[in-house]
Amino acid sequence: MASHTDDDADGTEAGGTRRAEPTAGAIHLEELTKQFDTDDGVERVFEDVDVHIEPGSFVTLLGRSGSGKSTILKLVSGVLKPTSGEIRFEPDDVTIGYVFQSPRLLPWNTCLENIEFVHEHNPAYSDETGREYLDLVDLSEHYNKYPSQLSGGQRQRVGIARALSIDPDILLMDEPFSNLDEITAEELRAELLSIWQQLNKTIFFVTHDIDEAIELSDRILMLGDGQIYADLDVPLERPRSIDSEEFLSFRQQAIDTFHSV
Amino acid sequence: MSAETIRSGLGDRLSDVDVNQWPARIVGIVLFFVGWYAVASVFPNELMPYPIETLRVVYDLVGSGKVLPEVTATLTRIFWGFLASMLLGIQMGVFMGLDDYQRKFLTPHIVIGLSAPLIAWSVIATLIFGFSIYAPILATILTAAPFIAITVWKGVEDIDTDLLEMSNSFGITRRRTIFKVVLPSVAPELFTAFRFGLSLSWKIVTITEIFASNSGIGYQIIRAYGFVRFDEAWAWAVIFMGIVLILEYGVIKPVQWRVLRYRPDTEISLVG
Repeated sequence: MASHTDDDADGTEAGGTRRAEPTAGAIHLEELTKQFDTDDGVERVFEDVDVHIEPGSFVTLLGRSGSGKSTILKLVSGVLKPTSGEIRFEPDDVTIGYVFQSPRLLPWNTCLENIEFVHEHNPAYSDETGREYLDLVDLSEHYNKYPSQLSGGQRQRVGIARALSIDPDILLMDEPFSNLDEITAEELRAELLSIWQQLNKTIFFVTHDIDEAIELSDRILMLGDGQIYADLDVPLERPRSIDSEEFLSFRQQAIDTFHSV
Repeated sequence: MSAETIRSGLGDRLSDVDVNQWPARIVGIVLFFVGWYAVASVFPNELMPYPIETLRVVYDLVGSGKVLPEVTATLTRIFWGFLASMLLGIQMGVFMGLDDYQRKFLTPHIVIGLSAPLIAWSVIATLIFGFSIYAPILATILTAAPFIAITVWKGVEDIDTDLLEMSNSFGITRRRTIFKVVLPSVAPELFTAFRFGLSLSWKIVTITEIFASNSGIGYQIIRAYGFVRFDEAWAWAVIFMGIVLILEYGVIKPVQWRVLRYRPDTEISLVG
């Protein structure tokens, strides 16, 4: 776990398949509204959401379950279409990687084949690339294992490697650690931060866990009642220690804000 | 033992599963012959010959060159009937899985198809087509297609929509999604449909041959019976079983094992 930073530095020098200067994209949500037609009429999920996310930043969308956080992520990824409003990216042709709450691996494919699956349009892809990203998430021993032979944390690592392997400018993460035990989740959070700092990706992260949001992000958006009702910059230095005085006092402030709606 | 060793041990077993099942299969076949021997010793010999005698008749039949044309005739009918049943059944099953309206429309047809006795379809198909090859084909479709449809329907219904959404969010084309996500996820049901659809096809084709044919294994069985040559009727039945077993262990099982080996071994041994 601890050594993967060094391994990766070696891998980049030797392999050189990753871009020399990783790019990160900006996301602009402009007056975004989403409603669903249900049997009981129109259900409005959120209305006039305006968010601008800087390239390379780590932004977390915090909200209770059912608040529409995942819907916003699905709109950004293009799986859903907004009712009105616009989503723009900079540059226009950003690549987006998606990490889901459950890893959503193809159970009939090995780890390596699961990575290969998303490279349909990438003629440059080789197993070498796949292995490089599995190494990045510390799965060097498991290239040819099936998901059923892995632990929950390892499966989620494959999901993260898959999303990173397309060299995305933007990484969308939908409660990726909420199905894991806390110790594993904590390990993966630390690794995610270290990967983010190495690769310079824009990360748009969704969670219902305030501590997770504070530990990871530059900026926290709170979603409730169909609105972004708070937008906090996290003023803490990295690496963050969750029992430092600054952390705890900011945590209290965030909790108060969170419950203000 | 560390967790790592346990897991890699599991991985090793995963690849050995098929080999380990051979002793059990051989014991099963031996027990079948023992049971046959026991039953044959109770009944008069002209009604139920002993296995060895029957195998001798099989040997003579094969040596006489009579077997191949009859087997070819039956296999040809089964091939076309089964192929048509698979195409139609898979089509119906996919429609039923995707669309509620079509499911409601097709369900009564399927229920009737599943519950009508095999012999009814044989007779009806023969009345329509007489001695032509279309009679067994139609009878096979009426018998096997509903079963295939209902099995495939379950498979299509159980496709993990989360995986489809994943595929969509990574911009994967429809074609690749069908081959890499949809087909593998209905593969277990396709195997069930294939195996039971094929065995239904065997049964219905041989029954139809009794009515509406002057060739094929079913015709030879009823002919031997008509001439009171029970040992020959048994011999044809054994030839029939032999071909079914060769298909099962020579073709279906190996393919199934290759396709489904990603599953944990406990699951494989439960269905295998």
